[in-house]
Amino acid sequence: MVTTAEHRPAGTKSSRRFALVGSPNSGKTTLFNALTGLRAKTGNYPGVTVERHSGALRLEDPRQRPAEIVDLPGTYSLDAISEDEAVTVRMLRGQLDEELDAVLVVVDATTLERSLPLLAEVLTIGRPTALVLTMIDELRARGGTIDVFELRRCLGIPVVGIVGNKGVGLDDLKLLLAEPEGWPLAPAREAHATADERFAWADDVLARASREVPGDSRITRRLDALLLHPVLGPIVFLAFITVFFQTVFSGAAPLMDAIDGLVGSTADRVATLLPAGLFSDLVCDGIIRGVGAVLVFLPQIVLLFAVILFLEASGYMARAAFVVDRLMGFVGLEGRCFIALLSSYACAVPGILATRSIPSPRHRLVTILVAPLTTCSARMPVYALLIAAFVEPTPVIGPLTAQGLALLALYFLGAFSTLLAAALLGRGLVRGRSLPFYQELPPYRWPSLRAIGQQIWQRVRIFLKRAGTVILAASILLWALLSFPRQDVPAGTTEEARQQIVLENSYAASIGKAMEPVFAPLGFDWRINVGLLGSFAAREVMVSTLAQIYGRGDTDETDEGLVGRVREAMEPATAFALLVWFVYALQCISTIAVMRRETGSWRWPLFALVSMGVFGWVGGFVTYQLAS
Amino acid sequence: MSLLDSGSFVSTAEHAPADRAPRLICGLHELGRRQSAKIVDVDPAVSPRLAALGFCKGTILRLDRRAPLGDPRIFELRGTRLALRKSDARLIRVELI
Repeated sequence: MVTTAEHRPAGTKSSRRFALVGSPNSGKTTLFNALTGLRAKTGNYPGVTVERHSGALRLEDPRQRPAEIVDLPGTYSLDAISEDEAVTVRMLRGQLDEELDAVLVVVDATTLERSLPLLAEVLTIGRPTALVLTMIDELRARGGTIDVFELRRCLGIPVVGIVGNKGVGLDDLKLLLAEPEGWPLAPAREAHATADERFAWADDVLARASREVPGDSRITRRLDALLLHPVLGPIVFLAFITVFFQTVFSGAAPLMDAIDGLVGSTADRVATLLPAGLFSDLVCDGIIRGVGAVLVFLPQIVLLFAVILFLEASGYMARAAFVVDRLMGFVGLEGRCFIALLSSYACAVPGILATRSIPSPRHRLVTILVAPLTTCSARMPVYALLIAAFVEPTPVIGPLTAQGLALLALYFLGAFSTLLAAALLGRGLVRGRSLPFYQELPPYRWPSLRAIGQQIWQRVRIFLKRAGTVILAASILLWALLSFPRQDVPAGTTEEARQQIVLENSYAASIGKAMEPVFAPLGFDWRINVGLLGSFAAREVMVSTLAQIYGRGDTDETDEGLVGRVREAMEPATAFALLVWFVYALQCISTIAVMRRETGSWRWPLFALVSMGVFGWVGGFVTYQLAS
Repeated sequence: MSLLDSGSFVSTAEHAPADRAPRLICGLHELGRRQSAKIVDVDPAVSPRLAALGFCKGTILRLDRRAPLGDPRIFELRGTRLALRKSDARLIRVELI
């Protein structure tokens, strides 16, 4: 329950709003979760794409005053050189139409020398402010000290030490949050104009509060001696990539098959329950199978995020980015972009969401634009079908067959194109500020599984929401295009023949035929064009659309029947052109939608759609001409 | 006079009073492993982001190690460890201590 702040009479039990400000990795999110009990609402700040988390303070006693906690984006300073910082500054200055009662500056007690200058900047804004020192257990364990009493005296504001994940100090903090009116305001001082001055101020304050810098974390020393070792480090890194791929692809496979089976059986079951006809077709083919085709990717996305978030929270992701940064530098990107692109091999949607950890806006935009060129797993069914139909399984080297080699070539083409596009975009087309590369290497920490679970759920929610809206609408539209106009068929026609007649006279077929002038140079006929149309809902829908078009039957892509029918119906040159088209073309509504969301405009997704379409067409054309 | 002129260690001993040890000034990218230094000058071209991270005048830091491929490199400063690339580190001038 939130009341409008302007009309709140002083002293009543109305809701308060507190903002959490702190640098990335300061324990801000852990504190936020501890205060709100993981009941966060996420959204965007109005007008910008910076994610917004806010939640109600969890109260032990219902007579306490309700309060809302707003988790501001992690920031090292209020220089406002990035969108995240700009949001923080606007919020603190009260320019976001959200009244703010007080500010909590969250600072990692082990890195006070680096973090305290942010407090100096926040204090100049003049709002009631309190300092929260996190990870005081780690500070003690590593032999560091800070005199909180003295710090409170020097700063003139409330100071609380906490251990967010263990709940230590939270009661003191909540007592403080009950009465922000009673907080002493920091004595007015002249603003520190430069970072040098703020750091000098911080050093002075810390010296007076008998600060002892904590020693190295011994575990971190030992792990880094191995993980950043000149020889062993890269070996561990390669092993990490292998395990990553193995987990995301093989680990998710049984669950994906299970969901696929469940979708199929649900559609069949519903079909028997509903009277045969248009409505039943809409529900089963349009809605259940259409949305189901995308839901199949859910296990892979959950697993992918579980692995990424675990490695990120433990501290290894920063090392992986550090190890690979030099290589990414060759194409004008940086280490963190590699992680996002690696995720895109499963699906470009989580890959694009993972770019949020890239601080430089230009690096981030380039990574978002090239992510759809990585060979996502939705291309696999299409590759598998066409390769099975047109490449002989003759052995080439050892266990590698011509089919395996063809698949490898497609992956290589995708990877090469991704890097080439990144190099070109970074050098010319994409302007925008580029920040210098910097990467903090935090001590290794055991991640909080609860927090990881919560973050996975947030991403899953985004995915499900899209499946329930954009993808649902697209599936219904596609179904309608494939099913209308209705045809009168002579009595006694088999169901298969009837569907064939409907399809051949459908709007989709008309569109497919209208597309022929464009795609004829690639050898595509209207049937393939209909498949391309269908693959916009999700690439692997191509397979089920082809199955519908080349005669009814089992839509299982491993089915010999479909492979055989495709082999009969398609020229090899056409198939190869189609494969090259699939390497490039951005035919995925989910990716386009997430690009729109993350870049804040239609400009970049449209640019990607058109340019990748041109690349796909030219590549397909060259392939068709060479092969035929 | 640019910061980039210093390709190697510059000794300013001839300007220092005779009773003081010579000051050794070099680019941050020239630090050897485990070598400590104090930042004496930061090129105005350096992003304010690096200053906010602690790369500003007066900060004492130490090179921890380089990446397996030679770059970037990790510096220890103000209780944190931060990786920078050579191209950014060379804009920061330090005095060896």
